[in-house]
Amino acid sequence: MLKIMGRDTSSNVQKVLWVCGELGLEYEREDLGGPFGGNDRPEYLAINPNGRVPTIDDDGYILWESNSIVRYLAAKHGGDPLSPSDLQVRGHAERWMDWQIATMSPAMVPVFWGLVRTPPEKRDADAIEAARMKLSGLFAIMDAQLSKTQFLASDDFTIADIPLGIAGYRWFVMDMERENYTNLKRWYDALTERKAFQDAVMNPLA
Amino acid sequence: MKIIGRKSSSNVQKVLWALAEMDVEYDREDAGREFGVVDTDAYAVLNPNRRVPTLVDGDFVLWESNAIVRHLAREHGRGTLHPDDAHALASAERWMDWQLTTLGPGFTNIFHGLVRDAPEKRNWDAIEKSRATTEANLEIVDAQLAKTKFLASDDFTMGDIPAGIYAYRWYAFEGIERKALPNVERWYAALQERPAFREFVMVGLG
Repeated sequence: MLKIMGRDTSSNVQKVLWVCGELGLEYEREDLGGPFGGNDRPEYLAINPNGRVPTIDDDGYILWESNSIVRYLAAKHGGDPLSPSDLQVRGHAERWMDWQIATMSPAMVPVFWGLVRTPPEKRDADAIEAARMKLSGLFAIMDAQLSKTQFLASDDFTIADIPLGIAGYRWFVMDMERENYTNLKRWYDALTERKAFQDAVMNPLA
Repeated sequence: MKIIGRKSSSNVQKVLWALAEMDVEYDREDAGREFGVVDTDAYAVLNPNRRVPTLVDGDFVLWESNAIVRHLAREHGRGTLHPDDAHALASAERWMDWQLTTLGPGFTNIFHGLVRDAPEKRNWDAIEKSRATTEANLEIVDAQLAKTKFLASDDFTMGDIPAGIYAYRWYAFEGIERKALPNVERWYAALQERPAFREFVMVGLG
């Protein structure tokens, strides 16, 4: 059986849990990382030298990097529309996934740490607001795409919506001011209707 | 098909290297840094991030360099750059993602410090920290290359392209401390035998 290593509060683990939910896959999960530790043990570093989560063990095939895991599982167990076969739709889907790791994630980190992981009395309000403005500019880019298509890569829900859907959840639930991005909100509302999203992502931030 | 972006950009080089490996014809337009263009409204329509490269093929527009490489490999390089085997494919994509999440961010300060900053303005603490981080990341590459000749398998694939560009830059720096990494050195020597690598990547640091 597919084994997933990583705590379920990690946004990167949630990508994998969400895609498993969409695919109806059974799996075992082992808590690892964050408060659970264990990610610096030699036996874990032997399979994931970065010491981060998630890692999967699929009948002996070991894979880390969450977006690559999502694509691997969606290709193995799914197909259109989740894992697009059309070359152009596929290119767009993978582009948004790469953009999440290259651009969205580095911009999300200071806002998330400031508002979720720092006690109120220790927060640097100016730094958080500057980071929030930068983050907002990225959601504006998504909003512009979502004015043209129902989901990020096409009018169907695809693998592209998974990494950025988790970022979207954080954007909409963190205690802060938000610009009114109507297409983004429509897309996010559609995600919240998905059982797999509710189960894997719509949990308290930690 | 047109690629927009200056040849000195590591992200543009990924695409040019991949295209040369697959012997695909294209036009290229300079953009970014000294060439400008990325700050124009017309460019923002194509790429709202205002970065390079961007691929334009008729109505199809794609940005994010690794996603472009995968798209082109899917179209022109099946069984070579784009592995047929599902595990080799996922492993190739994993090393590409890892460049975006880990290798690239860790390398920024040493590259900017040694290549772009004037000698009197260099932040040596940041440069040394980035050097040590990059060395540790290359040890992860070295451990993989102790098991396989190239990153995803015993064959050269798209998984070698992003990390290969960093290898060139790492070994091109003058006067830095570098730990001996025999597997990385063997792999890097094999990359240097590829005409496409020599033409598009081994072009100096700029």
